[in-house]
Amino acid sequence: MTLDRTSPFWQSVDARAMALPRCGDCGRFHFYPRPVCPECWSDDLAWQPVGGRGAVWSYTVVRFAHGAHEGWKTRIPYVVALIELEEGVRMMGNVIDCPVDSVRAGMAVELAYREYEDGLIPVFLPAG
Amino acid sequence: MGEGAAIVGIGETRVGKHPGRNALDLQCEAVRKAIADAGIDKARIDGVYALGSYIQPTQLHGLSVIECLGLRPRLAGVVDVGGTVAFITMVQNAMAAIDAGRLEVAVCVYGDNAATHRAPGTHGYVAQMTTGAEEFEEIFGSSIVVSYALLARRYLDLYGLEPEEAFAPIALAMRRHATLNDNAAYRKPIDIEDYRASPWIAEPFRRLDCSPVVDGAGAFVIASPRVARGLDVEPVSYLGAGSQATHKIVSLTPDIPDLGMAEAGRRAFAEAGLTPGDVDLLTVHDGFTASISITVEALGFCGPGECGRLAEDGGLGFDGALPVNPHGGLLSQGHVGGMLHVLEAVRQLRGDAGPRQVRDAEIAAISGNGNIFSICGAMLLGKGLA
Repeated sequence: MTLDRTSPFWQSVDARAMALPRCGDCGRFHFYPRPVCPECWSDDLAWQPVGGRGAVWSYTVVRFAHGAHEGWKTRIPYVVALIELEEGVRMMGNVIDCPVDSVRAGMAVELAYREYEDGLIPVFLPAG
Repeated sequence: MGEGAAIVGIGETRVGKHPGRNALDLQCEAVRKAIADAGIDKARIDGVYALGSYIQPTQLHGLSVIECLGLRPRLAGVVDVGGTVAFITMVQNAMAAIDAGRLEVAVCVYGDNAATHRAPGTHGYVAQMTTGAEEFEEIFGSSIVVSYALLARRYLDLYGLEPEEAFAPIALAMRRHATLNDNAAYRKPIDIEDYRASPWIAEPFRRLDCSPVVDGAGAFVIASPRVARGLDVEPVSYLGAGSQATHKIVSLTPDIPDLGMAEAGRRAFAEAGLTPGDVDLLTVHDGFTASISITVEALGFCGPGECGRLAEDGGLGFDGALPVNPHGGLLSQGHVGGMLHVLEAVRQLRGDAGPRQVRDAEIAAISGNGNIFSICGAMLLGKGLA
């Protein structure tokens, strides 16, 4: 089901220019997209591209295939991390193209895009 | 405030596998046992608080329970806020209704057939059904285990700990307790070598850090003191409770010191007029070993990062300084959502816990978290009528 609230996010990812909702009143970004600004309840939300720089807040190396996503079950071991973007929001994402054991909290990462079975998804690579 | 309320009956099914029965069947067995334990006529049940299956979700679950058991309560509702806090919330609601004179006897119930009826190829509870934001987490290969692993990694980083010192002693303590509970699913003794040999699921969690899902159900009866006095059962009184909701999905979780648990605990202790030093035993929702560390520390039973050391020194044992989950918890009894944590607290306060009885148990704390510490709750119960 396509929702007006969330589809602009996926369109921005498809365009390789990930955007997040930003409040026109208080200026805060939020993620995931919600019906109003969760801080000030303003309806004045606009989609703004992010800079793509962030840091790992926490991470895990998944080594046992479980859960509901069939694609990732075929890709163990893989890293799932919580990334703090410089826009002040935290989002989940995979840190890829580096040894799984090299990921640490505080590590600088940058946004990229990768084609998987769901289509293009945002991913994070070690910065630099 | 009126006179309060008391838990006067408990009932649980065998935990394990019940392939031919669904969650409703298991819940009905638990309710019948709880009502029989209370020695009360089922016609006197005027409130039902229920939580249905997460594995095979249904609607209007409370009405299914009352219809199957031939109950005709004034109130039948579903309370769904997740692990153990759902049952604390049921008690808070029943307590308020009893206190206001709207009800006299309520039954609270939960159970699931999570081991035998889950979707093929999945393990444990599937995040898709519970987080509601799967579009922004599940596509990254997340799960309930992954969500907790992210919180656990943050915990270890914050306090400079390794899983073997922080989490292994907790897994071992819960297993030791389960060996003393004939209704526990995992009773084979384990040691630190078994922990080290346990396969990684999602670091820093090995299999032995994760609670196995089982089929099972539990129920309890809560009644006004007037009703409780007329029953031939040792009552266990509600003393106080508190909860705090903060978020839902793991990417929006506050940092460990800012989770709702400390606030929930402060509210519960303030209402009861007690402090952590007054508590004789705790039952703590332990979907993962780290859940116990985070909860016990936030409630003020030990300092930040110290729970593993406490467990290593035997402190969490039923015969230790701070008994935690004498029944083996979700980690070794099996995951029944934390309902059996309430029943174990009642059993301990009655003095009916057999080989795992905590000596002179008069005050118990029950604490849990729903989803990924999304809502935290704590409740205090006391032996006898308050």
